[in-house]
Order: sequence, then C-alpha cells, then structure tokens
Amino acid sequence: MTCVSAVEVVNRREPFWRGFWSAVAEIWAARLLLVSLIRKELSIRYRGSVLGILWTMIKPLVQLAVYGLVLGLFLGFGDQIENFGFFMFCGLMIFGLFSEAVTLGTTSIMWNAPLVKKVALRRELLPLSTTGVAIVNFFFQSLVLVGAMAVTGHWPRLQDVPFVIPAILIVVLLGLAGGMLLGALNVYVRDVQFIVDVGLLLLFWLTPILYGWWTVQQTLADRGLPDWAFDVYMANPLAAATVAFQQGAWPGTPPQEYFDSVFALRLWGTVAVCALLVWLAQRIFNRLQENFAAEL
Amino acid sequence: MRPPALEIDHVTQSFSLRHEKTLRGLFVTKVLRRHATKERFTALDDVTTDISGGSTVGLIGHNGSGKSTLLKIIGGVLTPTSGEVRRRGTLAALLELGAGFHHDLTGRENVYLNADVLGIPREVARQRFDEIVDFSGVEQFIDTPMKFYSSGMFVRLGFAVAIYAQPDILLVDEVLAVGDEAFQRKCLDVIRRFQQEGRTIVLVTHDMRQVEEFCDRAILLDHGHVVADGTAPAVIGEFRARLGHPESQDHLPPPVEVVAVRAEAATSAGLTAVAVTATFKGTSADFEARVDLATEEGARLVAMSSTDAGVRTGIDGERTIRFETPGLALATGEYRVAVSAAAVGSPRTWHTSNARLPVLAAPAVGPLAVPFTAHEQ
Repeated sequence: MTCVSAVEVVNRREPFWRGFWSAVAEIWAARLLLVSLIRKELSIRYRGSVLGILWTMIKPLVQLAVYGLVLGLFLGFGDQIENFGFFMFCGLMIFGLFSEAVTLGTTSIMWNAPLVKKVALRRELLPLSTTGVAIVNFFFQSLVLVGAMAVTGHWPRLQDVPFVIPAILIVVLLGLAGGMLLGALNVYVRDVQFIVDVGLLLLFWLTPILYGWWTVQQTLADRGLPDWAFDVYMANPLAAATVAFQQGAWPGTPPQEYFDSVFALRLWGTVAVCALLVWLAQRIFNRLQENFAAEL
Repeated sequence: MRPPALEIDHVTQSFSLRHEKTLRGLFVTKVLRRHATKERFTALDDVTTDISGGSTVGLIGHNGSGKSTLLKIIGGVLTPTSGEVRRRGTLAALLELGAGFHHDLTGRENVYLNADVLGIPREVARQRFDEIVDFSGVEQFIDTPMKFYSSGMFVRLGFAVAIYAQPDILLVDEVLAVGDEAFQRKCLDVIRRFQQEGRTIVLVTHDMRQVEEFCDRAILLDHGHVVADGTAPAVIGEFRARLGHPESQDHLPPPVEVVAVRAEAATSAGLTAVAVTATFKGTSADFEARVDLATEEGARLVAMSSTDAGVRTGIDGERTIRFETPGLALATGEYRVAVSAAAVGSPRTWHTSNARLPVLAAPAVGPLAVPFTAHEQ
C-alpha cells in the first residue's frame, strides 16, 4: 500500500453531447464482465429446464408450423411464395433478434436491480448483455436454418448472401438502441414494458415476414396509390432489414426484383442512421442512469 | 502525509419524490402540472470533505440524514446532482447489506460475477474462492441459488467477497449489525487488519461503540449537512447531545424556536391527507422550517421544507406555517411528526419539536397501505 494511485473521478454529471467514446472505452475494458453477464442471463433463463437453450429454437419452429399450416396451407400462401417455410423462418429470425433485444433490454435494468443498486458498473452493460443474449439465440436459430438448407438442398443465391450483413447490423443496432432507451425509461415509468409489447405486435405485422413485400407493392399500386406509398412502407428499418435478410438467406426468388445498387446504398445508409440512434440512446441513457439506484 | 483517498467536492444530491411510476402519474405532474405529488428532497446539500488515505471514518446521523446517500455517491452507484467525488485506488462497497448478488444465481456464480464486476481476474478469483467461502461459512449452500439464503448468509458472503477483493478503499453500510457475534468478531478483526495495512475504510453505522473503537474520525450528518466533523468521541458527544436534548441542541439559544405543533390526519378513500400547523418564535432575517413525517420506528416518509415550498421570509416574533400533503397511502398506526426550524446561515442550529399523528386508515404490514396485484410472469 505504498504506491499512490492516480486520481479518478468517481461520478460527475457529463454534458449531454460528450462522453460517448469514453463510455465505449470503459465498456470495452469491461468486455470480460459483459461476457459473464451474457452467460448469467442465459443461465438464469434456462435454469432448471431440461431442454435449456433448445427452447430458443422450439419457439420459432412452433410459430413456423402454425403459420405454415394457416397461411401456407389454408390461405394458400405456400403456392405463391417459393419455399414458404424458409421465407417465413428468415423473417421470424431477423424480427425475433430485434424483438428479443428490445423486450429483454426493456426489463434489463429492472431485473438487475441488485447490481444497479449496489455496485458501480457501466449500466449500459445490462442492455448490452441482453442484446448479446438475443444474438446468441439468433446464432442457434441460424444453425437450424443452415441445417434445414443442407437437408433439403435448397440454398440461397450465393451472390446475395452478403445482404445478411447490413440486415443483421441494422437489427442489432436498432435493438440495442431501443433496449437501452426503453430499459432506462422503464425504471421511471413502468408502463414502458407494456407499450413495448403492443409496439412489437404492430411492428411484426407491418414487416414483410408472413407475406412478401411485393404483395404490399402490388396492393398499393392496385389501389391507385402513388409509388412513394410503398417507399413509406419500406422506410421502416425493420422492413428494409427483413427484405435484405430474405434476399440473402431465403432459397427463393421474389417475383419482382427490388434489389439494385440504390437499395444496397440505402441499406448501408440505414445502418449509419441506426448507429447514430445508438449514440443518441446512450446519451439519454447516461443521463437517466444517474438516479437508477434511487428509483429502483 | 498521504494524499486524500477520497475528495468529496461540493456534492449535492436531490431527488424528486414521485409517488406514481405510471404514465398517469407522469400525466398528472407534467401535463396537468399538479405538482402536489412531486416534491424535491435534498438528501445532501453541498457537502465538501476529504478523507485521507489509511484513515477510518465513521458517518453517523439520524435515519435520513444523508449518510447512506453519501456512501452510495462515493461508491459510484449514484451520480450527484452537482459536484463530484474523486478517488485514489480501488474500491469495494457493501451498500445496504449486500454486494450486488443476484437471487437466481448460486453463491458460486455470484462470487465469480462479483469478481468480474470488481475487475478481479478469473485466476485470482479462483485462487481466492476457497478462502472466500471459508470465511463466509456458507460452504454447504455455495451451489444453491441465493434466494434460499438467510439474510445473515447473504451478508456474510457479501462481506467475504468485498474483503477478498482487497480494495484500497472499503465502504461498509450497517453490515456489521447483521450476523451472529462470532461473524461480527471476524469482520472486526478484518477491519483492524485493513487498518494496519493502511487501507481506507468508510463506515456507516448506528453503533456508536464501533465508531469509538475503530474510527479515527467521525462525521455527523443532519438533513444533508455536515454538522460536526472531528475525532470520534467529540462527534459522538455532539450527536448524543442532539439526541438527548432536542430542546436545546446547542449551547447557544436557537434564534428560532418551534413553540407549537398541531398535526392532523384526514382519511378518505384509503388516502390520508396530513396537515401540520406549526408556530415559530424568534428573530431572523431568513429562516427555514422543516416538517418530517416518520414511522414510529423513525424511518422518514416525507420531508417538507418551507424553503422548497417557496416560503422564504424572515421572522420577528411569532409566525404560523401550515404544511399540507395530498392523500398519502398510509396504513393504520401511529406516526411521528418532527418540526424543526433554523435561521438560514452556517452553522445552522436546528430547534425541533415533536408531535404524534395517529392514523386510522387501512390496516397493513408496514407504513404504507396500497392496493396491489400479482400475476404470473
């Protein structure tokens, strides 16, 4: 105890616009803690369950079976969309990544109240760890997807596979921003978690998961609406991400081509916007987290 | 002389006491601007002090005096409304009887998670693991989820983790009050060893014997102000004087006195509106009156200040001020009302007078009677 350590500011209100990169540096320094928080979330979730992590695959597979039966068979979508099962599974996976990141993120601070109230840690680690959980689950689901492709022999077009990268980036960044912001707000107003449920339900049906985007385009055109009506529909970043993910991972071809260099550019633009939203969410989170210990 | 381990620099902490965490509650306060349900409460008011390296400091004061809040700010769990705390060296804290354990994790998992939080490398944590478990005496339950632990086991494991982190600065909040005597002995031995090793310890406790025995310095907080700071016996003497003689807290006669207190409770539809009428006497250009509503056991529920309410004028002779709260969800029972007055300035000499407030509302366990629901998650 002879050496004198450097002075360190414990906590000080930061100006709103500054401090994102120092937060990133601190989180990077605590990356091992992040890994152990992700492991903790997973182990709590599946504690005492026999099937454990397998549950992350059972849910989308059951959804797939039900939608396949009702939409694919009864409503006849299966005849209109090539490899309808794969089509839906791609949409369910990418939307599930987002919805899981957001739902778990929203309650992440509340569920980790003991940590928030008693130890000094960057609280961003909690929504980050739930986003991590969503990514882990997504990874297991993509193993199922690839496995199904191997079994059936239906593969996506190789040159389109890179489209999954911006799709995943959009969804992860958006899910992280949403989880951070909503998780912080939920500490103060507990309605948030219920609003999230309703909001995700709306988003689910406004995203071309169970139907093809081209159907929307066709329907809007048939009703005599101008072209930009479809652009409005596609302005939903989740719709853009889902379409891109289907293009890259679905073994099938849409009746029309939507993909051109402009869309690819727009996808990367959306990624940039989502990254900006992460920055904004972190700044708001940072202000709101000051009183977490008192509010929980 | 070593540089200070902690520099507490003009730290102020105020909270808004919002009663409802719902959209409706927000709508009422923000949109309808009915601020009745929202009050600001200053837990710490411009506290500045240094804590030198290697010293053991006791924070003492009544419940709600701000000592735990100060400890949380030092521990980095709360961000002060203004001001800052600077620190030299590593820190481990035991705030509110726990080291931040998750109820669903086993003791073992929590020990490792905590080590990660404190930035202790895995190998080091693994080496110390047996010692931690041995010290806490919970070997038998180390692979049991902590929700099955008794509160004593919780605290023991928490203390063990905190000390095996070997922090330069250790913050301890009331931990030594829990646990059996044998464990308390062990803890006190550790604290003595830490002192010999030159570590800094900040202790929040109600046990004056511990402060006298261990602390080379004590700080007395009252209503978020440092009212006494010095050697442990001197500050404890001051605290006892304030406790024992509420009528004359200082040697000088207080400039403003509370001469009459009337507390009334009106209950309707399960909510109890409290009105406190107090008469003050004295001479001061600027004075502040405070009303604290507390449970029988002394836990403060509501703090009202004339300054916060915008009543800020002088007194010459007698003045009567009425404090009113909207309906509070109080349970049936007896509550304490303390009215204090002081001239604004430093040091403040508070004069306090107490009254009892019987409430006949809904019966409940604890001071609050609120409707609740439960459902599966």
